[in-house]
Amino acid sequence: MSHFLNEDQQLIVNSVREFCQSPTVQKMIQEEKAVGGFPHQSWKAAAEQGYIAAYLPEEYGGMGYDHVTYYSIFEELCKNSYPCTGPISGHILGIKAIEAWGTDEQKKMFLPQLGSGEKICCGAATDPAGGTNFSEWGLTEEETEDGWILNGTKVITTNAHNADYKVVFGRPQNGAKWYDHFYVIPKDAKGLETGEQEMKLVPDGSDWGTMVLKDVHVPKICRFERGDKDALWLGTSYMMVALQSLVLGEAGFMYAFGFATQRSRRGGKLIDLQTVAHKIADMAIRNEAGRGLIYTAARMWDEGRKEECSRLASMAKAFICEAANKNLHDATIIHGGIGNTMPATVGVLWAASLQLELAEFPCDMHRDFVIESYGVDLDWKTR
Amino acid sequence: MSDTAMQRYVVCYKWVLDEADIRVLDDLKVDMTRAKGKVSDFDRSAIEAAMRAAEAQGAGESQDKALEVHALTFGDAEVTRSLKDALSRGPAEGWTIAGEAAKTADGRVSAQALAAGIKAIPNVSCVFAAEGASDTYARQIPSRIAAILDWPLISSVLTLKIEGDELIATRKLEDCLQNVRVTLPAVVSVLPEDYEPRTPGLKAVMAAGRKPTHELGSAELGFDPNDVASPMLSPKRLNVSQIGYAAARKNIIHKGLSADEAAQSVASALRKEGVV
Repeated sequence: MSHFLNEDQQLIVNSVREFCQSPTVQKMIQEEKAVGGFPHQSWKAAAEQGYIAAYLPEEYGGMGYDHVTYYSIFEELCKNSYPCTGPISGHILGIKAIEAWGTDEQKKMFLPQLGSGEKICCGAATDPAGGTNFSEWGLTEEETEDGWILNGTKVITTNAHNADYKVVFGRPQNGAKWYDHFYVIPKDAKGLETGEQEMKLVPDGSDWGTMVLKDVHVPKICRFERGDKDALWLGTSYMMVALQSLVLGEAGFMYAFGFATQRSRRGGKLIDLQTVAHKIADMAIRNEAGRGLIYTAARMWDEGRKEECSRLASMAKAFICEAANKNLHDATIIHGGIGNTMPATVGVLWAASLQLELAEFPCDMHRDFVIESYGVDLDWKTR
Repeated sequence: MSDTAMQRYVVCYKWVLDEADIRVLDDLKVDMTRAKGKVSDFDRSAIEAAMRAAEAQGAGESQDKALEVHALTFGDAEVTRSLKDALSRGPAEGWTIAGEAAKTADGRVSAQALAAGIKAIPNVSCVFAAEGASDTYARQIPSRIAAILDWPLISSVLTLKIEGDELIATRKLEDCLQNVRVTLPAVVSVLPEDYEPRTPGLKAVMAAGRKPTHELGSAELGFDPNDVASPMLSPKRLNVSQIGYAAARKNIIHKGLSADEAAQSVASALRKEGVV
């Protein structure tokens, strides 16, 4: 049992594993993979199990679980390669924003159907000019009597096509350094078009693409203002990406350990070579350190220590995503030439780890967040 | 509906060590120190069979509870930890018989304890069990319970339905299927094939913690489950030793063949070994 989980949480993790490995679910996954596209059936099944946003209160479609439990559920889904972990991560980015900055009226309007998984959401933050290059953003927002008219483009958004509600972040206003408002736009809004699906280096179950907004009218009720609220909730979304990386890093360890303990070299096992053994030991160390970061951060969030959580969440994102890449790089090298083939998988996972290094801000950006949390003012953000 | 008028199906389950956590060491010693508990895989199917039989008769659909599935288990002091897992799979209430006797129990002892538990639960009309538990698979408990209760046993049940006070089941035999019918009360032991267990969702796991549970003791059972020395709880079959078993590798190399021939040769060898 993980020392981060109590008996009840472990029971839940076991039930998630049982769900993922059940013959019925495995059959569903195979059939869905054969067809391709967004894993709607897997999404629906996960929603029925209550997994999608289990941390939300029941009134908002969740189960009222704490974040440690929720992340352990998500981690187990990732460990079992459940098809919609990417989509869940994108969905949660949008939900977290609504939950944090929405008024009671706005939350009641959107969260119950999103929290239960009945509807799908996305968080569209990245402008073609870059996610945080606010001064060069092309997105324009024009206020009208009854709302706002949006024009512009959002790119590399997870769930871009399939999201029923698109959470579109606006350009920070009045010299603000960071996102300070967003809009929730329904899928069928006039003027909203989704572009082609972007091809990831390693395709997965998520849909990832572009949204073009041409004179999209958004009523006032669908604009969400940060006001005097904080943006610390973003940390809990970063951790979703870090968790996916943690699972990849653990896969790197397992592949390398399995290979090195079976593969012989000059009559001995590969792992008998100290340099190989040390590489694999380092993988385990990185994994455990990463796990410590994430679940400590989650516990802090549950205890209401949001600033500390936010700092640790960025540390987790920066450390784990790079650690997973390092683990899988080393695991691939340990495999030798075979590591660079599709059947060996390990090299494919190495490539996949890149995506997570970049998702929800590259790791160096998170180093900025970490240093800012110690009171350093990074002036480039206002340039 | 009064408590005594409500019918109950009792499903027996065993809290076993998860075989995935058991390690056979190089010296063939069996290391179970890191093994966690779980509801036996086959018993999960028994729970599913009981739930489906009850749900087919409307159980759980109305406030007027005419029928419920209850879970019953016999184990050491740790066994109460199993209740939440078992109850998350559907049963409305859980019953435990917890005592030292479970640590050394053989099939005779376990069946006597479970039969006493079934007698202590009011208005039981049907007992469900797996053919065997996933740790020992001794296949003794259902038949012994039926003998103690003097109820009919239907074993090797592939599918079943209950109509009124009759249970109709299809048994899977060596080379044929047999349909049988009995009047309740009865004991059935089910095969897992057609009873893939439902996976508890988060709501079910959460609800499990709020379901009523009962620990059966001397007053209800007529014996103390900790009294290992009593003739009733003293095992007649003793474990002498337990060592790991690892089949020696055959080390057969299929060489000098074309790809098609090699594939056929491997497939043929696997068939010969009974692997496929």
